[in-house]
Amino acid sequence: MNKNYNQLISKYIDNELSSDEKKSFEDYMKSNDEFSNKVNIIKNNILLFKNISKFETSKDFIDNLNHQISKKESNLFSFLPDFKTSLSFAFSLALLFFIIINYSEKDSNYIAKQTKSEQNLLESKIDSLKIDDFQIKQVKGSKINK
Amino acid sequence: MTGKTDEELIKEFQNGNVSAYNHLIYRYKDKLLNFIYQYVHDLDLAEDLLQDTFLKLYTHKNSYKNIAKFSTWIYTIAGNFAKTELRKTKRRKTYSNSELIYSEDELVVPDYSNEPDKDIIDKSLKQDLQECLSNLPLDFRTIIILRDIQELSYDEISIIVELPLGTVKSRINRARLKLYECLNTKKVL
Repeated sequence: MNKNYNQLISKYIDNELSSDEKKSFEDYMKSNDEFSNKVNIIKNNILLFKNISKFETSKDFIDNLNHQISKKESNLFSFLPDFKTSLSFAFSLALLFFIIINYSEKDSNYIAKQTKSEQNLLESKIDSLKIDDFQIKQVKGSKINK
Repeated sequence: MTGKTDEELIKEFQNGNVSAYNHLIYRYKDKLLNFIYQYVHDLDLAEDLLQDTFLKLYTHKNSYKNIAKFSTWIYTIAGNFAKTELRKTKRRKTYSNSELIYSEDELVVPDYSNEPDKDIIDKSLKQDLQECLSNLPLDFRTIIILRDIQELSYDEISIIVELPLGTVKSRINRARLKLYECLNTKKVL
């Protein structure tokens, strides 16, 4: 029984018991000094907590907070490059672009040259084949005449 | 601006009005300082954590959605900072079995010689109560701090600690009984 009343202490203090429950609770308190004392001590503890010494923030709290905020704000935009950085970034980009273009131009010139020399080689081979063919035909012709 | 609700102020701040932010700071700075202090028992540290809380409010203002009270949101942020700090401190203090994290100032026996008897008893009782509160498990302690020290409603506490209303009510009752038992033990000693 005592255990049940223990569970109702906070409801009694917070005035959340129905009138019947409250009457029964108070009757039990009257019949049990130890329990009544317990309820009163818990009530008193709550009062003490309410009057516990309260602290206030220090005088420079707001200034410190504003300082922290401006620091945070500058950090928030730190991902954006500043003028100096953007110049060097643009320069690096231009250099890279120049190298790629230059390399690709050289590369295409080399390929063109290579293709030309291969074409010449083929043409000379065809010419030599034509000469061979002409010579074979001449030999065949002279044999038939004989 | 002073007549406005917290929810109106945070909405204004979300729309870019920094003066609304300042009003919220003035409204909550002392309440939250005392709230955090109950966890860490170090005023300087509590103030640092309060700075972190308000910084988070500044940088994450749009995380607040107008479905909950502003107070529950800001208490949740402050509570999370305090609990994280408490866990860090506990890890650092593994050599000690005690959960008490009192600063040196609090361990100094106060001079009550010029005070009336009732005040002396009250001060001594408050000190015992503080010690007992610090010895409570974290979930019980949080609820006592929110209900009996910060005087928040059960509904607000239920949102902050993310527990059903019934659980919050039964937990506060158990926490109050635990405090009573702790004080009784101190009297016996």
